[in-house]
Amino acid sequence: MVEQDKATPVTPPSTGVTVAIPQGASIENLERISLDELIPRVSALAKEGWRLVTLTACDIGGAFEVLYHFDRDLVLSNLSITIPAGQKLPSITGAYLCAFLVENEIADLFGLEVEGLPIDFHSHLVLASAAAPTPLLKQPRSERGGSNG
Amino acid sequence: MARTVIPFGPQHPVLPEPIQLKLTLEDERVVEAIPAIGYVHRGIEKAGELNEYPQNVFLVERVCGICSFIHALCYCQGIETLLNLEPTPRSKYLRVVWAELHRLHSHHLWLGLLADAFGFESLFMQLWRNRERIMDVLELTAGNRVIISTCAIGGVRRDISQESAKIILETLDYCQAELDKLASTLLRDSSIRSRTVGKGIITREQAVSLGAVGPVARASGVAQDLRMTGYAAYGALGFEPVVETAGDAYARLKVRFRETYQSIGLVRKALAEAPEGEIIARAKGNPQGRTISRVEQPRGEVLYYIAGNGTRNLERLRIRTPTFANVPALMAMLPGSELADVPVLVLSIDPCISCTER
Repeated sequence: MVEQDKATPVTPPSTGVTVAIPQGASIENLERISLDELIPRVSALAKEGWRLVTLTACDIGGAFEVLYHFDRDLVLSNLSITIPAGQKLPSITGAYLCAFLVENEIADLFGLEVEGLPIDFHSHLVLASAAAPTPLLKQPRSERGGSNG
Repeated sequence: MARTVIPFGPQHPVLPEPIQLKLTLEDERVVEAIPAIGYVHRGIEKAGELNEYPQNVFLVERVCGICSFIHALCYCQGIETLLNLEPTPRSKYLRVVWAELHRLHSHHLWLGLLADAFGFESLFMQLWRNRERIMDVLELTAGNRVIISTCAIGGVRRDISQESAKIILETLDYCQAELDKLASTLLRDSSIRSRTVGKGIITREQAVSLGAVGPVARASGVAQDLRMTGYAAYGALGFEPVVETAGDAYARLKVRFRETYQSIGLVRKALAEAPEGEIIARAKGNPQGRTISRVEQPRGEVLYYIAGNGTRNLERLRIRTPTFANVPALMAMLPGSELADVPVLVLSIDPCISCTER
């Protein structure tokens, strides 16, 4: 897959949001895709026998970058999508049921709503009911716009 | 048939740490298991952004007390990539020594806990007595038993002297002799076999599709171990993964038991082949860009996503631990089992909940 990680800032496919991606060292086998491409691409990887390693969400200011990490024979392949704050993230549990845990965790820690979760912990997978919400946002939720952020 | 939902945990004799499984039963048979965590979430990923990046070496060791050195190793390797820093040759071998001593005591801990789970107290005590000897050499070489803090960005903080190496080798001889004595009990005793053989089977296809890692995956025939990538000195030492194919709790036991011998062999070889020289390379600058670092912990693959922005603070530190990856496999292995087998099956993934929650 094509390495595209050094350009900054970038406008990810089909989001219209310009975000800052870190410069410097880069991740191998990283491909940025649009939100529309996510489910078909992930389903194809599942059929090809790739193991879902995990998802990584990052608050990039006004939007989230979500990376999907896959492994086959110890080779890591990564997909990246950018999703504006306020938009729902489609669940990939249709292709990888095991994603429900990390998708719930992302909902907890970032307030990014995930659509289509088979088991929804409603933002309380890892956070206690009395805990401050969305602790991994760069800014407190009250200072941000949008229903997710 | 009427269904009953019972909570398994968060407090349970086989659970040193809290996780709850909501078990749906038909009579005594499990038909569904839904996990609930969140009892010990510590916000370590957020703390990793607030600390300066060198401080995180000590922070990430606290993700898990059992495999603390290996967390630091994974983090340091990632930071070294971002700093374009090559650790010294000797430090790579010393990293293997400490990493394998951690794996060795972790597997002893698990084997003992398994024996304890079905009331085999004498076996539990013998395994943990062996483990104490390994903890003693950790203390000898690092000054601490659990959080040893010897891994550093660019290498390691402490050297291992020839005198200490001799004591390590003598200890390994003792541990191996003790393991030899326990082998027939662990692998052939009828009470152990009756509790593990054919229990909680995960097929190879399930292991891959559910994202299982470590001994859970290797016990189902998935020949995958991050040490095969040759990080630290594993490439120079030569490494073949331990694999079983039955996919049941007994296969998971066998993988971990065989890996204790493998770890002993790797420590011996690393001590014998470690070149003389500096133990740490000086780090300059701040991390810039992002990288993914993966290593093999006793429970399986751990992944660190590290993003730097050219300052002393990281932009993002993401940690995916092996138990987090093995929970879906646990959910798949429980349906169909008897309620009485649930404790052993939960234990068979070697759950580490403080790792899982971070």
